[in-house]
Amino acid sequence: MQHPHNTHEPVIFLPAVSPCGLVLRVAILLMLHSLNGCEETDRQPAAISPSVKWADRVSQSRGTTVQLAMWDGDASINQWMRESVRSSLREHYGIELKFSGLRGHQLVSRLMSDLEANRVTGDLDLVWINGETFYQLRKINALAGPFTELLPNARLIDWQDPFISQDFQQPVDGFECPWGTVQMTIIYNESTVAIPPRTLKELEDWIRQHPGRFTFDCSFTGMTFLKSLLLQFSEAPEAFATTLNESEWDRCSNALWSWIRKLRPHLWREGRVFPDDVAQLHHLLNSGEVDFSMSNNDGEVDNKIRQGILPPAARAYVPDWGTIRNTHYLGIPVNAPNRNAAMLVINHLISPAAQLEKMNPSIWGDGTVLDLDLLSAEWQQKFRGIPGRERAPSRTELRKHALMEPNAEVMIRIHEGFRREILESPQ
Amino acid sequence: MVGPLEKILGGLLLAIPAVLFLRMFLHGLQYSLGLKGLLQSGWTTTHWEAVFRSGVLLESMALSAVTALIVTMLSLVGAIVLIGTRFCYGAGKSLEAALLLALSTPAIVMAMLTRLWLEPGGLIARMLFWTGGISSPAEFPVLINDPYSLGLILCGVFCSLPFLALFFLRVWEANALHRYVSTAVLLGASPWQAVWRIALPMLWNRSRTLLVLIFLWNFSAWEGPLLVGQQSPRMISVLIADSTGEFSLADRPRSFTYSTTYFVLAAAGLAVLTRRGRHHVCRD
Amino acid sequence: MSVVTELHIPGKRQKPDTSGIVILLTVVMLILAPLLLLSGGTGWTWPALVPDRPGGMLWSAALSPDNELFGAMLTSLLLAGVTSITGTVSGLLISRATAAFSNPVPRMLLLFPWIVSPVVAGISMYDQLARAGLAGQMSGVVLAQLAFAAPLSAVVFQNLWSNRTRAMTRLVRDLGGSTTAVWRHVVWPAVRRIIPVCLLQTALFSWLDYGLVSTIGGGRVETVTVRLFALLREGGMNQAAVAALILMTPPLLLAVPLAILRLQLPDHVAGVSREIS
Repeated sequence: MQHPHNTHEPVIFLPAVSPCGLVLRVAILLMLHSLNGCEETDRQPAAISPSVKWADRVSQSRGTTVQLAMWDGDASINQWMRESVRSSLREHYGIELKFSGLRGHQLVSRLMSDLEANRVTGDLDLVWINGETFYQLRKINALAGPFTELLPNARLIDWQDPFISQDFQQPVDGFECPWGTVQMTIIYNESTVAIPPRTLKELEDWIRQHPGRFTFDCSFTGMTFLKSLLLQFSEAPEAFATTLNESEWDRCSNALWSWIRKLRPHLWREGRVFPDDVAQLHHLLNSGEVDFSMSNNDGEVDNKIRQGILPPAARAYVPDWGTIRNTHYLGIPVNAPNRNAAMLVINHLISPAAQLEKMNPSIWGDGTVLDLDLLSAEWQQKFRGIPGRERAPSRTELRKHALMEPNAEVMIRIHEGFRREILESPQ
Repeated sequence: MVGPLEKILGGLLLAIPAVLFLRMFLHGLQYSLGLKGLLQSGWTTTHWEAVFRSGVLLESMALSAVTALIVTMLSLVGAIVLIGTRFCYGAGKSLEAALLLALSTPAIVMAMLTRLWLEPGGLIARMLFWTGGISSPAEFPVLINDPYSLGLILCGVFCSLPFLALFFLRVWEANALHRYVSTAVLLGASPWQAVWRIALPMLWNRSRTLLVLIFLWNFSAWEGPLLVGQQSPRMISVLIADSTGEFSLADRPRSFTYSTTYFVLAAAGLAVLTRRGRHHVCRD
Repeated sequence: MSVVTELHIPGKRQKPDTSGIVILLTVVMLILAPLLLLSGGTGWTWPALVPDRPGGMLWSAALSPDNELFGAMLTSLLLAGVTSITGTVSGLLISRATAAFSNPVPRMLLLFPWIVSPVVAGISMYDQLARAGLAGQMSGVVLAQLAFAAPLSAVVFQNLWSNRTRAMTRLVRDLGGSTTAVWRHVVWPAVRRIIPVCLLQTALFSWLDYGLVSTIGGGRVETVTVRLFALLREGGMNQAAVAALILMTPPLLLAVPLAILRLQLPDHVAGVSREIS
């Protein structure tokens, strides 16, 4: 043991006189230098070469692996991706699809760390993203592209639909490919809620009259719900469109936080805790702890009842104030090691066959991004023959109450504001 | 008496953790001062000022410290009770098997089990439902992600207690404590009195450092707080891990401010511990 | 094996192990029973006590070579094997070198991994490992785990270098013995018994690690802990129970040799305690 008095030398650096200390010191300096020196400098351009023929991309991708980063909070989506999609990619292209479970903000953090470390060959080839992630990834130039023009199946996409061609008010510009389109629905238990609230006032009254029976999650779905409420407090919703109007944001966000604070004592667990994600919220509805859940996938209710995740009495609806309709996309990170194969996977996922399978309520129930008029009669018939929804309004009905996604900055601020104003502030 | 080759090899190998730890600290420090990162602003102390103004870090530290302290104390009491049971009621191999089984349960599984038992839709609630105690999960008390960290504390105790109890058994055996307590019993003390008055002071003396380590482990715990801890304030490891992926990119340096503070505190705690130990040795 | 001698009072009958059995049964019921119950089927809707569709389908799926959990198991085993061997060997060499160092900092450094959170360390280490081309690679995860495992082992070995071993080393050297002779006649006999324990300890550290593998592995290195967290995120409690039992199996199996080695695990902590105080 050392004597306690010689404690003033700098941490790590040992006295130069000691030979052992010298060895350690030199080793540390060498390793510090070597780790710095390992930076790769041949950064590939972010652009994807349009000159490569599709057939070449197919042949170059055979026998390779594609690592897809995706939200993995839904067992049925995971199962479809891991079984059906994986096996068809293996069969058609000889590509092995692997998965990493990452949420949007974790993905941004991971790619940002890669760029900061000048990491030209990253871990991820493909990312499943939505508006606020796209906005942030574009901001730090973490996405490769444009590439959608190069995908043979992209010509079938309904680019005329503003809900598809714009992601959180930001033009896609070929840097992400639409994969599915959905609208938020509120889910309620028909056996306990005879008439679901249609207006904000009715919702407020219902929450007060049924303390502890309503909540929302503090992840993507819950924050999307808050966004639709925020728009209700605005007299000029266009203030949240392309550029954010700061004074309108201040006014409406304050109204939103006040609304939540006012109702907080009547929420589940008196608003002290909120479910981490929508999977937990479904679980609460299923176990009878609350009477409402919500979903960003308008076709989910049938699917989840079939799986036993939601009770048989669960029903989906859209209140009169409307809900956000949006599209989710697939992008290629700027440091993706296998861009060609990633493009093949995207092209496969937007093929009529994959879109049809995904749209089936027993598999996922996700809306297609394809323009059915551009498909052959045979495919059109197949899409129209998809089993109808049993417990959710039709897509046409839903669309009447569709709200356009506000600016991506709104989602980021809502996430932050919810933590600061609600979670971190005592009642 | 260690050869030069051994010194060089050992020194080189020691340099691996030394470099990794030193660089991770420096990276965080530079990032928090605006000197690193894609959106770096250049030298600034605004992130540090913002962190200490908001109080989130201090709240998190306080929560982590209080939770760790309660877990350590409850584990100590539990371990003493088990040792007492061992002595007074003759629990033998089965007790050791039970402790080893509990010790073999990783923290993540312990957190999962805490949820499984204590959440409103969990096993206890279901048993109560079938016995007529409750009619719906909403009637079950909130013990998971609760504001008093009850589930988290229980999870921490189940992780720490077996370790401490096994350590006590080992100390008991190594120091032949049974001789002292048996003598006390023969002289008229009750078995619990003998454990309390004779064995406990001896165990306490030998386990103080281990108790500090258990406190530090629980202070830094992650899996348990992640699955059963409260949402705000968050335990320190959860706060740091969450904040690296916060939504605003401009706030990213804040997470490195948290981690830098955490590393400084950890190193300071260790320095104080080792220094105190050396003084103690010197006095001896 | 009993580590505590029974309370022997003349004229008093030996007490049966009833309380121990009660405690053991309680622990089994609290830990193993719910996991076995949930892993024995799929679905678990309120207020059922047993899975909705009982059967061994999840186990047969988990043990099929195509299953991701099976692949994760192999990755975890590989990582644990490599980390335990490199960690133990490095720990032994580091402990020899630090015994010769006169500065307290290396010793403090050895204790740092005992108290620092692996997940926080992983987040902070990512940058340098990414620069070195090691992020998202098994080698990067091994290196990060080694930064923890080597000091953990070194602390255990450190307690072996007593005055007696120093005197023995001096004797061998005085008699003209080389470093090899020192290792053969002094170091090896001293460390022989502790090496298996160190191997087990470092293997367990690696097997149970989630913080480092999830941050440094970047989703590409998928271990049992990574799968378990993913299953918990998607709410698949039945599959999570299977993964949890798989995760617990090696520690449970290792508990037997540890018991045979007369509870050396707490003894390591005693080693850390001695190192600090």
